[in-house]
Amino acid sequence: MGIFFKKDFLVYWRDRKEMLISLLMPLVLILILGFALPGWVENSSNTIDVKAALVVKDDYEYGMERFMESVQQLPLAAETKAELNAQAERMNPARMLTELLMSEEVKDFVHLSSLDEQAALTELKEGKIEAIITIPESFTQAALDRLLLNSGDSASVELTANKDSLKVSVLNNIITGFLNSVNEQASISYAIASQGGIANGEDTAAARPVGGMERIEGASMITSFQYYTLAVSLFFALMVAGTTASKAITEKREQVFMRILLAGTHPYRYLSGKIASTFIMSMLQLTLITVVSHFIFRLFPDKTFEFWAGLLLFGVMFCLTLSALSGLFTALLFRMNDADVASGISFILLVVMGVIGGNLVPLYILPDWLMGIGSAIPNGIALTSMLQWIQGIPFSELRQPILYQALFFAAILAASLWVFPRRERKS
Amino acid sequence: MIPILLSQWMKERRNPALLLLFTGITIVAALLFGGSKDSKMMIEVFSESGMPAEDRAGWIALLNQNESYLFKEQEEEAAIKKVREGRADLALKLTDDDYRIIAAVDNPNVQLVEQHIRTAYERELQLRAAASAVEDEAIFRKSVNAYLENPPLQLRLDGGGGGELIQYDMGMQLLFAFSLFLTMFTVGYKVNAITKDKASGVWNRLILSPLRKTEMYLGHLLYSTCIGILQILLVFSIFRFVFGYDLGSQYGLLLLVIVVYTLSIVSLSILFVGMLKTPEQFTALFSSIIPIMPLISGAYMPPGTITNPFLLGAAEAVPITHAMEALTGIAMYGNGIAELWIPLAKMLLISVLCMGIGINMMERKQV
Repeated sequence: MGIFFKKDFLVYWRDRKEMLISLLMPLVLILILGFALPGWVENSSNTIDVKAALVVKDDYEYGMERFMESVQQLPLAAETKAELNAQAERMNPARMLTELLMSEEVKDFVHLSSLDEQAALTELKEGKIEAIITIPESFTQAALDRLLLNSGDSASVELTANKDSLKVSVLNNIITGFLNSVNEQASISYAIASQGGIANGEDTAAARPVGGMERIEGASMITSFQYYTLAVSLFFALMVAGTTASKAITEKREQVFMRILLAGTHPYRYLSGKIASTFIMSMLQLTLITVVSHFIFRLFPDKTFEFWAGLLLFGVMFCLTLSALSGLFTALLFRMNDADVASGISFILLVVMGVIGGNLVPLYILPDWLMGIGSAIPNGIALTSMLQWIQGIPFSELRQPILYQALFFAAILAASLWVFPRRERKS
Repeated sequence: MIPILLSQWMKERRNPALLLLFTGITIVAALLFGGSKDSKMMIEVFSESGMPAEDRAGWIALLNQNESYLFKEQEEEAAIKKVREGRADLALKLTDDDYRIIAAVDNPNVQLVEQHIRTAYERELQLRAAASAVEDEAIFRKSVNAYLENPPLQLRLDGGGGGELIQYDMGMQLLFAFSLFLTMFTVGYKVNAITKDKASGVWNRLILSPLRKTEMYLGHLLYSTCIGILQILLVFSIFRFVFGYDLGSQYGLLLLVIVVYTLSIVSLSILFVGMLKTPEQFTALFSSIIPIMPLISGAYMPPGTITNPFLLGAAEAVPITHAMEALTGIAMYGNGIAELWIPLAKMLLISVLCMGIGINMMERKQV
């Protein structure tokens, strides 16, 4: 086996350029992901930055005056009128909305500039801003009439954007949230009033939910960045299995394999060289990526030696399985007439495994049954057990996945030995 | 040129497995990811022991009044296991008039969901508190709901041109993304026939034949382009005519974008072929670089997610960025050629550069 291992490693070594690329590619990807969504590295979610314009065509003062005038004309007691006016002063929706949009929390991610309509439209067209929030003429009057006197039509705020996007939805959510809370408040007052009661603040004071996050007992949080680093590096380790197998195409084409057989060597020794070199290559890649990203991004701060040893064990088990997988792909290559089809099949298989194992896309977009399959295939097992290990789940609970991984290794190895042509083929 | 085309076609006919495989996978993938029209995020819910089942059902029904999340009841152990294994972002634990979110991975999704849950809880608790002040709760709730049917304050969404703001269709984006992504592989494998011909010596024999170099290249490139176009067209027609997706009404423009995109992918593949010697090198390198392209261009993410200027610049060099922009523009916003010429021009520029450099490198190399 030693000599074949050496041969396969030399084949790798001859292609240093390619080897380097396959080693660096995952690192580049991790860097890109770190850049693309900076929240993953620092775990802050306020990375969004919306530029919008606020166009106020409404005149609060005038609206208030008109409202008071119409209150004055109503056949109500003087006290009720005073109360209504005070309420109107308190809950002036246009002012509250403006205050909300200018508040410190919102300022963190919405850059609002006050413009007139024409300027705002021009900026929107030029792409300087993403959306325009318009408070239309006589908004205050219409809103107050409707909210407090339940007369007239509803009042609308306008949100103008060229295209629906994440940023526009953020604005949309903020404004809708505010409008809904005002509406609900009004609906409660209305409903109480319609049953003859009087709504005042004290009656309707509600218990507020505490909410918040709770940790799983004995587990610590994983950062998204840890998650994606693991997912990506496992996927690229998986790709090593395909790469090694595809190197055999050359050996098939140039009859290297036949010559090895003619030299009286057992065919399995050739296969063992493939398997061993895949194991070493994938281990090398996995270690390199983890270590480098650990030092660049401080991936796993303050972890014990035990933690690293455990992580290594999961890595070794996974690489064993995928080295067996590369054996299977090599065997397939020699079995099938068209080596291209064989490598195409193995490539697709690897990508599919990567997708349903959760290495390439967020898992929740998959249907349930696929997720079930995903957590039962080698890369899924490796990912979930590593994730649990990071959370600090005790090793005794993670023996099962290791056992499964060993079973996979044995089964795939047996399959590859079975598929691999033992005797020289007639053609 | 024609003989080359024919020879490629004969190879395909004798051995169509690969092409069928790629096309099949494209359809399956696009179906899986883009096909689910209501791609709601599922959140599993369990409750503290002792909570009556109808209370739980009540809260779940309340929480489910939204468009992006689906709350489903689940055993506590199963729900926690899923979170722990990273197969779900979060689970929700209901306690008496309160809730806790169980999460293992810290990500922005969790905060978005929390916001939704908090709003739903606050509203309900407020209603309950108010309801205690009136005699008949049923009538009270009814009148609240009736009032909210036509709420006093509303938000009107408005598209820039005066029309309505069109809701972004993420499913459609994923459909495009996966079709374009997987077509890159088909096209790459087809262009790889050149390195194979070189490795087997056929290329040299062709050079000696009366065929001109131009014809040799044209034959190969034309063939790969046609196969790529056919694959995308096939997938799109299945989605249009079998699954009833609305791809807009400008089929001519769609075709134009598909053609230009495929051309740019062919050129990209030529660049790889020019840099590398053997077909195996091509396969290995191509298949590890291609999956990164849609990630850089943000094809899997909602528009506007990527804000990093470095990354946005890098995305400009990737054809799939421009193809996505053009296709979503046509299908969702009914864009005409006036909006399309920029992405088209960028793709053509990429094609010209890659093709030029690629063929140049190929011709300099000793075969």
